[in-house]
Amino acid sequence: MSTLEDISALLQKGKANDVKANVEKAIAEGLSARTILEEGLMAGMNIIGGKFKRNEVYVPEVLIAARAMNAGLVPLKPLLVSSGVKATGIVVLGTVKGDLHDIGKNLVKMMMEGKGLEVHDIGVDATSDKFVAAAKEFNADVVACSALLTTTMNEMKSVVEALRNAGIRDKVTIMVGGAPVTDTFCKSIGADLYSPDAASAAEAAVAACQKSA
Amino acid sequence: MSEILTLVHEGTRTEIPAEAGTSLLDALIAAGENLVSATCAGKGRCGKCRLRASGALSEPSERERSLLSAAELAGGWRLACMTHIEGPARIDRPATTVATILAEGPAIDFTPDPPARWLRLRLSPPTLEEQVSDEERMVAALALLTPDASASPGSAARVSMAALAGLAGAARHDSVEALVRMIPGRGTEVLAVAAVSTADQASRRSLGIGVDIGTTTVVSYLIDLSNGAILGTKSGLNDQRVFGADVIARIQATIERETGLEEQRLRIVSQLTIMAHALLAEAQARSEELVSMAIAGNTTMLHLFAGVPPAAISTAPFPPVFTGLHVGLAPEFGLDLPETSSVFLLPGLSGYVGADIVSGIAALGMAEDPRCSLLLDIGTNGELALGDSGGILSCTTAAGPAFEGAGISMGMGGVVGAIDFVWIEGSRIACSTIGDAKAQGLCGSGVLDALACFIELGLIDGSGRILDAEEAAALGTELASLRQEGETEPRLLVCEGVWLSQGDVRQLQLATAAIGAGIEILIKRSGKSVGEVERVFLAGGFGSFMDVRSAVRVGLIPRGLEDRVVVAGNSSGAGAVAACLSRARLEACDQARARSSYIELSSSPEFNDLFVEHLFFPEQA
Ligand code: B1M
Repeated sequence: MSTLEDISALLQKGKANDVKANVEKAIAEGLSARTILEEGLMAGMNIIGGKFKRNEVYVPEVLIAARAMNAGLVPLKPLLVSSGVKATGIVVLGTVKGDLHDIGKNLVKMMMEGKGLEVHDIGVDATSDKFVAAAKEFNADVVACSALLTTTMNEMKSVVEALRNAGIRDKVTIMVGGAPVTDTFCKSIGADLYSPDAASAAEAAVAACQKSA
Repeated sequence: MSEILTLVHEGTRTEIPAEAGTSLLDALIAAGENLVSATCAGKGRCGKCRLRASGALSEPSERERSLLSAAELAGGWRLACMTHIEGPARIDRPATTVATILAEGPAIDFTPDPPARWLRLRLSPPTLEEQVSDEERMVAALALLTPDASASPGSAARVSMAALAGLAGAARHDSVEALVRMIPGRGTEVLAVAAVSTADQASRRSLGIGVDIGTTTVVSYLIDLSNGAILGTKSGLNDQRVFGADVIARIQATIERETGLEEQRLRIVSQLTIMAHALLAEAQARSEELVSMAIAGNTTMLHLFAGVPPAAISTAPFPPVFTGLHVGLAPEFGLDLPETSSVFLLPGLSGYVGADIVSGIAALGMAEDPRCSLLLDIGTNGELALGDSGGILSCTTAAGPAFEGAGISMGMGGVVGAIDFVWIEGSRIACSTIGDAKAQGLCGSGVLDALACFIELGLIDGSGRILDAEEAAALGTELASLRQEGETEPRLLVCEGVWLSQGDVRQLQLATAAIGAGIEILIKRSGKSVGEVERVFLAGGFGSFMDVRSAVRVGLIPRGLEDRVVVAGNSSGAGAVAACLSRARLEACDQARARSSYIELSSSPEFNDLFVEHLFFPEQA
């Protein structure tokens, strides 16, 4: 197996230290930072994402894979910066006001990072103003809202309105998700994209960023 | 040889002849008694035919030892199907008392001392010399009868206007009957006065109703306050269910529908009124005999009953409008019951740990016991409390409805045709259904058993994954045949046409992890270890029916506690009954509340890590 394949396989098993060592090895072998990222780390996360979508693996496996990916990114980050590798897109992600559930949102973040997106996590119980401020500050391509309660999902509508009032509604793609959220609900509040799970959310965000680029 | 089997029930004895060597179950069946239900048809597998028996009986068999806890065996509990008659023996049929509502709670002193009751007062005769009003003569008579309630200065009984009106006619006799309310810390009140019942009239009884308003089920118990006997029970599904199954949905209905709060209030108020009238009619009671109604329920249910908007409870930081003890009269709550019946809205702790839990803590005496106990009420929301006389910690953990059979592909309620128990026989899976009908799906206890069996058989691994076809084949053809490729995901057959899918397992992992992590946080925060938990009280429907071994197998209850489990039945309802019956128990609710503190898991930094850890099923024992 090549070093890149090793990185992907070890990442899927969540072996953080081994992933890091193999990234260092790949750097020493002279592979480019972009190749290591895309064909090693992201390839591994992709496979985990697919398995998660099919329910073959669950939350813990994704978490440890993401931890391994972050370990691999430590030696890689400076090289990515110096070689000018840009993020696929910029996402502002948070759980809406009144809602403190964040396990699903954290998975969305990991999957998005696994797709090379730059994610700014504004945490839980985030007001619509906070979403707007972060979208402006980071010049976001995507604003992503998570809600787990039927009583807080209506807050997503407030986020759409706040973005409109701030005059940046058309500059961003608004994504929504979380257990009670549906595609119909997404359309009814004037948001752009609904995804049922974290892996689909990451794919949809990448597609949205590529379209707007 | 024929032996005598004696059934003892509330002081009455029935003797039935039985051949030596027959099982208790067969003897009961032969005598036409249906004391127990034998779900597995007397094969010693399900453990459902348990009863309390003594006398010349066979030694507990190995099956009994595995199905009954050491504490149960010590307490005389046996399996009717496995216990054989060797000589004269007796079966104790439990009387319906607070203890049976509690199934098998600890012995608490329930000496009746009701906070509201009819008292007969002997009035000193009026004289010309001493000009004293009827009211003063009655208050003086009351003070003589209840020295403790009126000991402190300035605490003379208050007399309501309605009572004065009644006094006018009644005081011409030398005795009156007064409806007196004595709530610790709130003084003494006379709410009604009536003439002493005439000789040809039965004397006025004092009756109370203890109510548990559950999100799903409502139960009312009619109590004779002179001796604590339960005269009748009514239960039914909560009439508010048309507005949604869970608390959040009910709250949402108050927000989204203009009349949503009032509609739900009316439904529960009339449901309780109807239940009360039915209970009183069956007990041939005069309506004024009903002196009190104590109500326990989760915080949202009490808000809806009182007509107080619960909206804020649904979003962080979940502030309820009230959690304290509220005392009023029936008309104030719109109850169509005697105007002088008192209503006690029992105290809760927070938006999600309500009066149902607090009254359970009080009924079980947890806050007065030096032994550490854990109370588990597992429903859509798991409510947990842990502690001893040094203090109680509680929390609530959202589990989701998986253990109520909802959100599971073949899940259903506990009705005829639902698989209620699943067990392993050799390398096969066996199950029983409610009503012995053809299996249509799984109810909560069946879902839990099925999951435990598949984990035990190795068809589901520790991460919750159903083995792939190749891995399953390695377990042998019999087990491999249980694995099917569903439309979108693999599934495991419980019996012909009923299965557990991969997605179902994931839902169950979420529910188990939420409860498991909640328990672990309570134990850690109180500085205790699992070994120090001496008793585990399982409250509520699911807790009463689930197989404790399955619960331990999937990680719902920590290993090591299985022998300490006590099925606590409707501890919330028992708390309400006790509050009608005894001032000390009503006060105990307030004390349980004062001695409890609440941990909000949404803001507990360790919750997420523990939750993820608990998503894994425990290793084999
Ligand atoms: C931007 O685009 C996207 C796209 C996709 C997106 C996305 C955004 N966000 C998520 N996704 C998607 O990707 C993820 C992965 O594929 C998925 O995310 P999920 O979050 O769905 O999935 C996660 C990976 C795993 N799932 C979860 O993490 C949620 C699991 C359950 C059990 C749950 C948990 C764990 C908790 N809870 Co809460 N909780 C429940 C849940 C019941 C259940 N069985 O689902 C639910 C959601 N809770 C509920 C409730 C009522 C509550 N909870 C509360 C508290 C808690 C805990 C603290 C105990 C804990 C949260 C811990 C935390 N920090 O997140 C309270 C509220 C707190 C608040 N204000 O937020 C409380 C109000 C009650 C209480 N007991 O205190 C219920 C909501 C009912 C309703 N009608 O809305 C509930 C369904 C359980 C139930 N009772 O039925 C997708 O939805």
